[in-house]
Amino acid sequence: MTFSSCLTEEDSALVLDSSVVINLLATGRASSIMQALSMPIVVTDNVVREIEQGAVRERPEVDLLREMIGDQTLRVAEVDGPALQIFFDLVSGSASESLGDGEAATLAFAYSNGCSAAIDEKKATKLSVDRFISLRLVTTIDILAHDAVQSTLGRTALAEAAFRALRLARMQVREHQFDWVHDLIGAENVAASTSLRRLANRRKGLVRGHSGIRVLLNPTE
Amino acid sequence: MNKLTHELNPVELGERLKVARETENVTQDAGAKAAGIARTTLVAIEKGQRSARIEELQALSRCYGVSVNSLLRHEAVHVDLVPRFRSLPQTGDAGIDQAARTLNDLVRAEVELENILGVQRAHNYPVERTILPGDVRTQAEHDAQNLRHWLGLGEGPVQDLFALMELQLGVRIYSRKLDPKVSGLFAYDDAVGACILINSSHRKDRRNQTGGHELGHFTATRRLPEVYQDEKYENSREERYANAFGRAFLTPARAVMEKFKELTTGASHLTRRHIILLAHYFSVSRQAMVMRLEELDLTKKGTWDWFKDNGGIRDEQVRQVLGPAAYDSSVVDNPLSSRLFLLAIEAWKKDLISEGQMSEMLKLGRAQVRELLDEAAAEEDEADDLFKLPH
Repeated sequence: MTFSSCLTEEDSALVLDSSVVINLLATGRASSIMQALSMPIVVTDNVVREIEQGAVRERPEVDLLREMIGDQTLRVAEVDGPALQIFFDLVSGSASESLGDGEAATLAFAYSNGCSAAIDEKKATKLSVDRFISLRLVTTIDILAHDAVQSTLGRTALAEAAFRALRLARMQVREHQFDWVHDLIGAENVAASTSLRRLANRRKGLVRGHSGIRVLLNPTE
Repeated sequence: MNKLTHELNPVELGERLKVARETENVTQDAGAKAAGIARTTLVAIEKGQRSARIEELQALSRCYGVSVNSLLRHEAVHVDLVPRFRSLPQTGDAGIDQAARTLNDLVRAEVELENILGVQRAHNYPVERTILPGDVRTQAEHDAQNLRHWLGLGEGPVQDLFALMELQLGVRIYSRKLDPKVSGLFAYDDAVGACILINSSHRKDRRNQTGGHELGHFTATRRLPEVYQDEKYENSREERYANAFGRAFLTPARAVMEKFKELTTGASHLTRRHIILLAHYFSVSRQAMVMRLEELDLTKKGTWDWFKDNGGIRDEQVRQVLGPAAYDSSVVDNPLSSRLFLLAIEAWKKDLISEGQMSEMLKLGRAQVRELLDEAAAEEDEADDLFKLPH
């Protein structure tokens, strides 16, 4: 099975959730990656605040985020107008049917402004698929696997960037993306990455007919 | 325009806003200014007499440093421990205020996760004692001994004080890096029970001492919030009781006497080696051990001062006596608040909370949250069907 990025010309602008920003910052190549995409990239002010607040051990990443906002690699947007009502609907209600502020702001802003949302978080993804059928969703891996990112960074730098995101930010990889990541970073680095090692073991189990395999959520397929 | 459509009762929302404002120590004037409304309007919102508009709620949440989701989630509970700590004499200290907020946030998260998962915290508190007139040290010795018996501990050393308090008594225990001068905090609330926060950057023996001290407060002065700074001399009866209680609980008189006799038989002098072995056996600091020996008349008063004046008892000497492995395990151990983490992982696995909600509830960065989830998933993958729990 060949994996290709879900990020295409159909995506005119991309709104990044904290779950993706954290990964991109950890790559050490965030600026180059975002510039390579050649599309407007937006983060909501809720996401910026979330990253700043959770940054006790992630201080250099916050400085980098501020730098990218300063040089306009990223644009910070405030959720207002019709998006604000959607945001409030998403943060209200019981815990199981509501989202954190950053996740809700990302989906609300992207949906209201006809952008695509980059989000790795599984509950937010599920909720978005249920509520916003027309909203296009991509993941961090889709960004890394985008043709322009691959050609700008080159294979070695991209592999290093992906491995850093896996190691430092524990980036999540979905089942259908595994082979692409494996080919990129190599078996040794797969084994060194906790979440990927698990996915690899599960896939081995699947081949052997092991019971109890859970199918990972994959709404974009 | 832009009235809230969520179903949260305005009185409940008003109360949550008030607690969030007081926790952040923001005046009604400042809150109202941030939201662009009159102070009287904010008063009406806090009383539930007027609904907050979306823009107002967003501005207030920013001003109070909380998420809108935490104000509107149905299961959210608003614990108001912070203002109680502010009534203590140490008022105004930023490190203490931060520690009080951390405790408040962690308790709030645990109670909300219990609500989300539909579980209840079972606790098994001993009867509360009162500090009577007369010698507090004698009372503390007596009460500590009674609690030991009640817990079925006998006279032996306490293997894991925090697991005992969390699992056997049902006290909410957390451990986080705090301002170095803060050893621990204790608070009690009728709705949430007893809660203790320990400074995780302190050594294990020092944390044990803090735990013993807070257990003393839990036993006799449960209704008073307390900030423990072990390097600060406090001479109140409550503090002297808690210190004596901690010593008596961790180093029970009879057990210390027996172990002391066993170790020093045939020796002509009390040496560093004796102290190191005794301190290790009871999981207390070398200083706490020597002071206890002095208190029990097993060595002369002033022994600790003598050691201090003659080079102290150094880590290197401890390493030589105990061996590197035992020494390392005496310094580091697992982080606490295991129950809070278990609840959060369970809620995340069931899609009841998102990564963003978990990060905010546990006050952890995303990478730390993912580390927790990865570890939990790895353990789950290992577990065989044989280990399936029967509920």
